[in-house]
Amino acid sequence: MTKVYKSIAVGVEEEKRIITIYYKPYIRYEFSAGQALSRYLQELKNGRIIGRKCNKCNRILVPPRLYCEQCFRMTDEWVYVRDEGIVNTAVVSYITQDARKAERPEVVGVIELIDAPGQGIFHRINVDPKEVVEKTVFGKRVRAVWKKSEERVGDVNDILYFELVKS
Amino acid sequence: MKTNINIKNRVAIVGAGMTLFRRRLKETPQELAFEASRVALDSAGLDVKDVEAVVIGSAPDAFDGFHMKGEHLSDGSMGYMKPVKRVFVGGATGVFTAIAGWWHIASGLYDIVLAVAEEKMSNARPHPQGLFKYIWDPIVERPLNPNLIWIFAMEMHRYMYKYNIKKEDIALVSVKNKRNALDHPAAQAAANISVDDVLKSEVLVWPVQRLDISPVSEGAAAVVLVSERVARKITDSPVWIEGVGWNLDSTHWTSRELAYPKYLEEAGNMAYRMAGIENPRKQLDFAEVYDPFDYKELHHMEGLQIANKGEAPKLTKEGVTQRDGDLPICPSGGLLGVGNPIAAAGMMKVCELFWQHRYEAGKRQVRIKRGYGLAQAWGDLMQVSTVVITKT
Amino acid sequence: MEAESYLYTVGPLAEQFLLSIKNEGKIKAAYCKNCGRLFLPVRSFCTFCGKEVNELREIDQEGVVESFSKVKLDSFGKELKEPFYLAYIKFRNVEGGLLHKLGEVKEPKIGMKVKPVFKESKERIGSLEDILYFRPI
Repeated sequence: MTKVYKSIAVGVEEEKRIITIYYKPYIRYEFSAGQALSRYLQELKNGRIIGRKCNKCNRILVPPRLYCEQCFRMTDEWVYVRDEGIVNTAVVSYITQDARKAERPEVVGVIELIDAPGQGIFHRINVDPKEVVEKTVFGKRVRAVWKKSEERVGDVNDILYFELVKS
Repeated sequence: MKTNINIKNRVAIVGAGMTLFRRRLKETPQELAFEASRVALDSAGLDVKDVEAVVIGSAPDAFDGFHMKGEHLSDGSMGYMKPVKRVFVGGATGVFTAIAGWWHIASGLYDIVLAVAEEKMSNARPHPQGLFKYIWDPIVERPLNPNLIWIFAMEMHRYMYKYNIKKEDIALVSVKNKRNALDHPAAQAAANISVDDVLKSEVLVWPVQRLDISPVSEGAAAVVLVSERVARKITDSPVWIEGVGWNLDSTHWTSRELAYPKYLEEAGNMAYRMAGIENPRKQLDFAEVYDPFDYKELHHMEGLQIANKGEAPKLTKEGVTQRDGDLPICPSGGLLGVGNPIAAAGMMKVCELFWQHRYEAGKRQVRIKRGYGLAQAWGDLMQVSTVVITKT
Repeated sequence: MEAESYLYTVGPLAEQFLLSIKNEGKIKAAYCKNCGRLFLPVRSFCTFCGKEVNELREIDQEGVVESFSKVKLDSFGKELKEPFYLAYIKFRNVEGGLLHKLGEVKEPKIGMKVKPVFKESKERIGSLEDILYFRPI
C-alpha cells in the first residue's frame, strides 16, 4: 500500500487564523567580481567586450575567466571580441523577477558570439515578440546597442540590448 | 558487463513513506521530516532504535528559513545521537539522498540507514521563486533581473527549435502526468486536463505557460535502506539498488547546447554501467524521470537514452510512456501532478520505484517484466543530474 | 540568501502550547505517551522514541536557571539601550527547557528558582512574548 501520512494542509484564509511567526531578515551582499570579471566590467564601460583565451583548447571564454574549466589550467591571454553574435535561444517574459506581472513583455536570450564560438552571452534582445514565438529570430545575427559613453558605469547593463543587424 | 567496483554490501529499499504534498502545510519542517520517516519505518517494520545512520536531503536553507537545515531536521528524522549527514544538489537532491544512503551501506559501514528528503516552501515571502534570484551569477546575470522561469523557457525554446517540436506535443506530458496523479494519494495538482487547457493557460515566459509547470509545494518523503543481510531477514521482496550515477556540468550554462543534457547522459551511463544495462529503452520497465516542467520529461528521456535526440515527443504521442505502454514514464504523476517540494520530489520518485516494484502502487501500478526501474532528478542552473536504478 | 520575509507555522502541538499561554496563562509541556517523557520546546514527535506526540500536560510553573548571560549588544553589534539577562530555564521532570529573559533581579545565579510573569490576559496574543520575563521566587 502506498503509505502517505495525514499531514495538515492549510489554505490561504486559514493561514491568517493560525498562529504564525513573522520575521524580516536584514541581509545585504556585496560581491567582489574577481580578477577576470573586474576587467570584463571595466571594458564594458569602455564599450568593448573582452574574453580570455585558453591556448590549450583554443577557446576564447566570454565572460572571461582566469582558468579554463575543461583543461583545468590558467587561461593565457586577453582577447577583444566583436559585440556581434547569433541568437542561440530567445524567450518572451511577461513576469518580473518576483513572479509579478511585468509592465511590458521583455525578450531575453543567449547570443553566441561570432568571435568566441561556443560561448554565449545572456542578455536582452530588442526584437518583436512575434519573431520569438515564430522562432524566426533563432540563428539571426545581432549586434549590441550600447548606452552613451558617459552613461556607462561598468555593468552588464551598459549594453542596452542586442539588436538585429540590418543586412 | 558490470564495472569493477568493490561493493561490500548489496543495498535494498525495504520501506518508503511520504507526507501529503501541498502548497501550505501546518507542520514545521522537523515535523514533516518526522511524518515521512515514521511512515517509512512503519512500512519496513522497523523503529527508531534500528536506524544506524541518517541521510537528510534538503535544498537551500533559505526556503525553510533555517540555517544548517540538515542539523535542524535531524531530530525529526530519527537522527538524535546518530551519524547524520545532509546532502544538497539543488533539485537533484531527492535522488541523491538515496544515493548517499546507498553508499553508507555499500561501503560496509552500516546495515540500516534512513534517507529523508524535506522541503518547506511556504515560509518564504512574498514567493519562494524570489529566492531563486541567488541562483544567478551576481555580476553578469543578476543585473538583468532574471526570473527563474527564464532559464527553463530558454532551454525549452532551444529544444523546440533544434528538433522542431511543437507545444502541443510537449503539453501531452502535462496532461499525462496530471492524470496519472489522480491515483496518487499525496498528490497536490492531479487533474483531468486537455492539451487545449495547457495551450490556453497564462503565458508566463514564452514558450512556458502556467500548466507547463509543476506547482509550488512542500512536504517530505523517505526510504529505508538496508544491507542484503538485513533485507533477507525482514522481507520477501527487497527492492535492490543496482546502479547509481551523478554528474555535474559547469556553471557556464550559456556555453552549453541547451537542447541536450549531456550531464544526464554521463550520470545515466554511470548508473547503467553499474547495473549492467546496455539498452535502457528495452531493459527498463518504467522510469520516474524528473518533470518540473513538461518539456523536461522529454529532455530527460533523451538524456537517459530512452529515446533518440528529438524523438521523445514521438514516444509520448504514441502512448509508449502511458502506464499501460511499453515504457511507462512517471506513473506516479511526477512533479507536474504530485507536486514539487524541491528535495522531497526526487525522493517521492524513489518511493514510487519501491511501491511499483512491490506491486503496492494501487491504480498506478505498471507491469514489471524485466525487473528494472529508474528514478532521476535534476538540479541547479541546468547543471546536475542524479540517477538511481532499482531491480527486483 | 534570505527571502524578503518569512512566515513560519509553529506546528499543530506548539500552537496548543501557545494558546495555553494566551488563554490560560500556563506553560505546558509535550507529553509522549510511549516513553512517558515530558519535553520542551513542544513538537508533534518524540525525538527519543520516534513516536507521534499530540498531548500537552500541565507542569510545575516554577523553573530553575540552568544558565544565563547578560546581553549588551544587538545582532549587528550595536549597544542595546537596555541590556537584559537571557536565561535557559529548566522545569521539574521536563526534558529541555525554555530560553527567556530574567526580570526583577540584579545578580542572577545558576540554580536560582524562577517563575513566569505574564502580560495582562487581554494583551496576550499566543506568543512566548506573552511572558514578560521570569523572576526569582
